[in-house]
Amino acid sequence: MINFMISTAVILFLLAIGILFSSRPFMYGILRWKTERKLKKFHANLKDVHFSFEEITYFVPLPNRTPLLAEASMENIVTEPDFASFIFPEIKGLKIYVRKNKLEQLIAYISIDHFRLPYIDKLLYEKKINEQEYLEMSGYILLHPNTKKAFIEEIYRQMRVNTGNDSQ
Amino acid sequence: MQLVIILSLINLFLLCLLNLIRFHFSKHVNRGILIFSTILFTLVNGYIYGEFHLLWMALLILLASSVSYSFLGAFIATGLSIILFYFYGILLDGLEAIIIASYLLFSIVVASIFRYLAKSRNRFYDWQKQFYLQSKNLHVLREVSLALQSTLNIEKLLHIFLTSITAGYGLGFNRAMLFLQNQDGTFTGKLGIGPLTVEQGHTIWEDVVINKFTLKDFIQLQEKAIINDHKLNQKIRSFSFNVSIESPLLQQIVKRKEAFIVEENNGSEDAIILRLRETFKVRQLAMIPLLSRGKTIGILMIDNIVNQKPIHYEDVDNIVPLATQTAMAIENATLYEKTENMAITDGLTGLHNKRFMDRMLPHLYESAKSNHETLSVLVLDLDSFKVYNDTHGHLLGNEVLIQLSSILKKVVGAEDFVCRFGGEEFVILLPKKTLPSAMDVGEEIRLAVRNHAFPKADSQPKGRITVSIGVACSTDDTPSSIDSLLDRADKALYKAKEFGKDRVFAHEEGVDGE
Repeated sequence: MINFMISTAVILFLLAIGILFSSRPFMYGILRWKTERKLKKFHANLKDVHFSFEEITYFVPLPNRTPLLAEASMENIVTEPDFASFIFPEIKGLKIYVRKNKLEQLIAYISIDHFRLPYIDKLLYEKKINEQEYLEMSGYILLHPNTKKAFIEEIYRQMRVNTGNDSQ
Repeated sequence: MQLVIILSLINLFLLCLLNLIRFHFSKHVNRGILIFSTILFTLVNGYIYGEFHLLWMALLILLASSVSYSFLGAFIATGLSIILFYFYGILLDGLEAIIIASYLLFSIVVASIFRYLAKSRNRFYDWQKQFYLQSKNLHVLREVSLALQSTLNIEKLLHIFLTSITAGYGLGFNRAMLFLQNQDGTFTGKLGIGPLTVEQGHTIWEDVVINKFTLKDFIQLQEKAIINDHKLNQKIRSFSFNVSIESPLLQQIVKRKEAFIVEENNGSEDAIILRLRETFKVRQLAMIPLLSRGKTIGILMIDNIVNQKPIHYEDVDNIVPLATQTAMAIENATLYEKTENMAITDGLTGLHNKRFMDRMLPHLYESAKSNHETLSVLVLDLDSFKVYNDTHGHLLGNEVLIQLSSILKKVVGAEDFVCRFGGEEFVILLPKKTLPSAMDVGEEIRLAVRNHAFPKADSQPKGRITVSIGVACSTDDTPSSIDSLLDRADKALYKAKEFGKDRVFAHEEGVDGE
């Protein structure tokens, strides 16, 4: 009986873990498929969807003379998606950290609510998509590797501007 | 055995597939698919491994239901499982009570844990949202404070303030319009940033996004912003209003000195709100008074014309510190402007004074020199003015100076500068004028003064008030300094006095002529 209970618990646990950890990549995969399909429908490309750095929330003034930030290279700037819930994940935003030698500092955040894209805004205004589809498309674009790279480059630019060390 | 493995793998694959496609659907369908997938998985496993296994595998269904719909899901799933198992005779004899109790306990524990986690998560996200918002406001306030301190130019101050409200790097409203109070109490539109229509808003915004402008860029791009919003600014500058009983809402804002949000379906009783709606196609509108030392010096109006995002009072609260800081900066800049004007204006006549002339003459001189143009100077003196003052007193003498100033202002062109040099002596700077044209101006002034009916002018030695004028001109051919230009005009004036007053004399290189 005990063996039976243990094996029950182990199998249930493994299945739950499987569902938990597969949810986020599965959700992102579906968002990717839906977004690319929508863009194709409107004869657009991901490159046509411009986004702004305007809505970044900075937690530290940049450039900053704190050694961790002042000496950080672009490789030390990392992004981390911010999700709510494991089983029913929702994209909340993108966190941007500086990580170096086991030290870490959150320097900026871009919230999905404020990540507005003019091209998709136009589609929404023209009623070609609804609010839910807007959120799905902007969520996919926010977590896209190119977007992350662009944010990292922008943060690095802000860190280096007027410091006399503008070259990358 | 092989069949069992294949069936198990297919079952697992189905669970994964359903777990993938559930994200294609809405929130509730997603939850429904998750519960359905666990039911399917359990039933297939029950078929493969025997009904007995359904007893423990049902826990997976209870887990999915409790996670999806908390206590409601937990109780419904538990109830249905027990009923089904009871009818199909799966419940073990003698252990019914234990199984039912286990199911209930399991469901309640899972639902409680996930409910607690969801509550904590929501509380955390609310807190995080507030934190991010405050961080952003602090960042904007810091950037804007620095920018506001960098200038005493009112136009620039207003541009910085409105940029901080409209730019995404700032508070991100679609449009802001500023109306400042005049000395007579009326409000006049001064500056606006934002589109006139939704379509224009999309175009401008796409341009901004493609160019990746930052808040600092926006602040520096004052001219571009004014060009972009040219039509809006034209409308704003011609929009003025008086806060009266016809506009009870605005009256309330000015009286209470508190921000107010006018909803789309409100404000029909307020004439100014109606005009605003008509002119600027406004729907929901927030109005924020600009307060400096407890006095309303202006009203800021904001709306989200493009995305129609509702404006809440907490959004407005974020503007208040910026508005107060800007109001103080505007008042300081206005005082500075007034002081600066006072410093270069003659108190009696309202003409420019000697300080202004000392500042302006080098600019004009250098500009004439670099553009190969001429610069003429007239030095003018009232004839026998001491006699007039001694006879009629300084009060009447001052009146003559005031009337003479009016004549000078009327005669000279808009590009010319009339300065009171001191006492009864005046200097007139005539950029781009040749010596003959300057002589003509001088002559026109002389005749205008001669023919003007000054008070008690008949007591003067010549029976009227007259002026003598000395003229000098700087050209490429006659390289000279500013001092020598003034000196030559002054010498010409003395010549005019020497030759009997009431005349215009020019100083030319080597030649003095009338």
